[in-house]
Amino acid sequence: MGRMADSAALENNLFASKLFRPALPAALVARQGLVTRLQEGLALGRTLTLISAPAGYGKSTLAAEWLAQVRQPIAWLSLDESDDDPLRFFTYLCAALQQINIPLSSELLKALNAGQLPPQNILSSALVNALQAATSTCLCVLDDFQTIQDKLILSVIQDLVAHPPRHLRLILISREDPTLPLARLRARNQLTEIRAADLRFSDAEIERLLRQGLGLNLSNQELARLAERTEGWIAGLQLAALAMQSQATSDGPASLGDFIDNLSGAHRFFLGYLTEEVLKAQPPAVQDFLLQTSILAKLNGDLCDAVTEGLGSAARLEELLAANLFLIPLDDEGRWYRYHHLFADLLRNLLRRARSFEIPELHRRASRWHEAHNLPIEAIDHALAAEDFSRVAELLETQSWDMLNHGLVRKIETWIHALPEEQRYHSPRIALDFAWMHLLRGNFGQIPPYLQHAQVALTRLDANEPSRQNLQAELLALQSNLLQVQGNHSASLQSAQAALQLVVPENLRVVGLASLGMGAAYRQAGNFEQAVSALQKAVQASQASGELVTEMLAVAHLTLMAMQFGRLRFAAQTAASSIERIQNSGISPPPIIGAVYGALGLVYYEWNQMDQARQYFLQGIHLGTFSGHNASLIYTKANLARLLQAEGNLDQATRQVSQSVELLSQGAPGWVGPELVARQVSLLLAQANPDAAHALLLRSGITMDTPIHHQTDPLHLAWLRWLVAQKRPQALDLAGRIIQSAQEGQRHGTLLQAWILSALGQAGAPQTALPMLEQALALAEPEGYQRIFLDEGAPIATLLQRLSHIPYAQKLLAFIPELANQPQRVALIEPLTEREIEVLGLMAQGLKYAEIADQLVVSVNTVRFHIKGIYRKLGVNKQSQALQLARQLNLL
Amino acid sequence: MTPDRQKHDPRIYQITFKGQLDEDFLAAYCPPGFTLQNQEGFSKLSNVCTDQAGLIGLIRHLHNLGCTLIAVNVQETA
Repeated sequence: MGRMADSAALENNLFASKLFRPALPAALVARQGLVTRLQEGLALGRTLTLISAPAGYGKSTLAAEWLAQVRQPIAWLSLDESDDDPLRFFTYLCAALQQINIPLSSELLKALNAGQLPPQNILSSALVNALQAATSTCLCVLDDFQTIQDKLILSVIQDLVAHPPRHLRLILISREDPTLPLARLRARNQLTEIRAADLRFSDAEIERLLRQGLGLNLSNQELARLAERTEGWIAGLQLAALAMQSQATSDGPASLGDFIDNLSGAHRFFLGYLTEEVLKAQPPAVQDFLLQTSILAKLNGDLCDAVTEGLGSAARLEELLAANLFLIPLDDEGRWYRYHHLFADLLRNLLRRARSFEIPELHRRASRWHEAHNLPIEAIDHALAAEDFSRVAELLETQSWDMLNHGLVRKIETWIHALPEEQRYHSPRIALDFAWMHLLRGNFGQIPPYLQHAQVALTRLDANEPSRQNLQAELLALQSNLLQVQGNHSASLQSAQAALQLVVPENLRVVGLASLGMGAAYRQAGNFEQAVSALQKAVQASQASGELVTEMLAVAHLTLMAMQFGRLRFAAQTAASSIERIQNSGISPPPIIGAVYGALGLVYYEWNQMDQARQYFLQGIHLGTFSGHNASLIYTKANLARLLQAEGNLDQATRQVSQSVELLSQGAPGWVGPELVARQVSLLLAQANPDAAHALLLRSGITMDTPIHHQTDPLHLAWLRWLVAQKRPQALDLAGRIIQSAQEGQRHGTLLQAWILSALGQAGAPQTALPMLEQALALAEPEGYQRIFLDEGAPIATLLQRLSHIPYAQKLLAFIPELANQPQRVALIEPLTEREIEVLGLMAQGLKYAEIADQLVVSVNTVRFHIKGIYRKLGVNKQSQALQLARQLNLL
Repeated sequence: MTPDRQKHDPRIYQITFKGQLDEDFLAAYCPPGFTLQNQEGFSKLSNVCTDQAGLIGLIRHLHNLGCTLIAVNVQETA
């Protein structure tokens, strides 16, 4: 059996009980007719099976009876209200699917484990792809599906139903019809349905249950009356049967007729009456036990001992199970049980009516037991039911951070709302936890109200409270990061400094966060040295405290900033060591890491190590896509476009850029926009479309006269590139201004680019151009910059030739003939394998698939597989197109 | 099965709600044979033949689509 190795949660047997398929109860009435219908649906390959009926119709029992006859692997998931949260739902669904060895992508599992929810389309395609890989039919059962109302979850299930993986059979058990296009599925014969009308016991089944199953001696008339009263509703019949059994033993068979006559048709009332009858027939100790434990959603012996303050509950539970008292086992070791939902409701009603004074104490005991067994959700639920609000607040305070990281956002919000106002933010801890969570997930808009709550709670704390300073520091550190994102770097800096003054040095989590805010603020202010020192401190502190997201945010800032300041080696070192650390740790990387890969790719690109660069870019895009981190994606796709453009593959470069533009329109932080415009301008100029480039620059919000600072660099450089390409005289002035600003700010990356463009603009005046280029070479060499020159092609070569006495110019020139000889060389994003090239060659010789297979001593299927790969990589779907393109690419 | 019991599910319902819905869209979610009328700002779904679980599911779906439920009537038994 597959296991979610890195999830400690599975160790928890309560969690495992969610994945446990209810054992087949000693069924008194087999329902072979319905089972046959279900089997037929399965054999017909229908995607969806729906068992939809109100409570007490025997839905789960039928499913268990059916599935006991099914030989295919079955993933079972029992849902409850707290699963109506996408992160939680998909974590459980993946765990269930892993039990039947569905090969889920490790990225998906890591992301879910790290509390990150991939966007809907990624989630759907990850699930569809994994299920597609199944080689034979597998069943996935979602029980109590009516608890799921979340739009995202329903959309993904809809996607699964709309594009069903070939071998998946989805079985939904629900009290009401789920929001899925059932009518459409019905019309296409893709739906097997079992509904209330099917589930009601027929007269014959009622007879079998009562006469043969339970040995009740009933006349035909009595049977018919009972059938009429219960309308074949199974829960009602079973309760009635239990009540009659006890009547029969105490008063003799004569009274059964009267008993049936007394039953009224109104379900609720009639059930209450029946339950009382059943309960009365039990010994007092069992009565007490049933009533007291009815407050529990799931029961085990130890827990029942704690709640009843008794002993021997485990044995009692086994007795109840044997006596058919609506107890359902939740695992196969007899550890966990639950009462049938309806029966539990009825028992609780009786408890409320007869002994309501006991209820709070019972819940308190349950709460303590769950707390001691590290089951905080249940502990809090029971504390709330006991109306012990200070206990709820206490538990929330200690547990909220862990629970938030396990996707219980909605649940915690519900708990908080259930608390009276004065308890709600009794301590700032919970509000701070929420603020952290939103900060780490990048939902900045959600942070301010929590910071306000935290502030209010802080002012209520006793001034002598030792934790107060640390909490205040934490608040300030969070605030600093929020202000920084909002672009208010001076206020951000103040908050960060105040936080670092207040916090005790051992509180590394807060030290890391405050340093991050400080470093990011210094970066915004264009203060390289101080930004680096603060960010490095943030990296160290968060490494020590294990706060991965803080660390990666600091690394991303460091790396991106180092690029602008022309510190390629520093950028590479910072990025590579963090990536290595994360890869070795097996922890799920936070979403921002996509940008770190993008930046590392850019360093290798500048070093003219194109394969390495491409690998990092593709990895960055992969990770960014998965985590839905738009900024990472836009930045990395734009960088990949640069590489593609350099390889002469303008179409693919354009595609990457337009995808980035599309992503940008969906929303992304401000820093990615200018880089993207610069990329677009360069691409449009390469495509000889200067007017479109100009229009883009005019819309950018920056004119060439706008004052220059570090945040406008990419746009000013784009203007400069356009002016140079258009041979406009203003180029000289703009270049001078950029050079001056970059020199003052030590932004060497910017400075290099400006020198090179300026030299190109003045190629006709070598006495100005050459010294400038010489300076650029001197600055570039120690950091290994190459592409920044090579990308300019023949015009730069002409200038470099005149500096060939400089060794670095000579080194660069060595690459340029290659550029000149293959100006139109188009490259593939994903290169063909040797085998694929071999197959391509044989295809070009006009060989048929079978002949190619013979030649290579492989099967025809393998040849098909290779050809599919070739077509995909070349982006074609016909042999003629593939051969034509392959010739253009010199692959033949 | 006794004739009395057949009466209960499914039944034909008429659902009146406030809000505009596309008939094609509804076709994917409603049992076949239903009709949709718009009158005086209300929408009326008639001939909806379904059982309790189907009815509750449909009402919740309308609710999730932002429609305001006005009335549910039984038209006749199936």
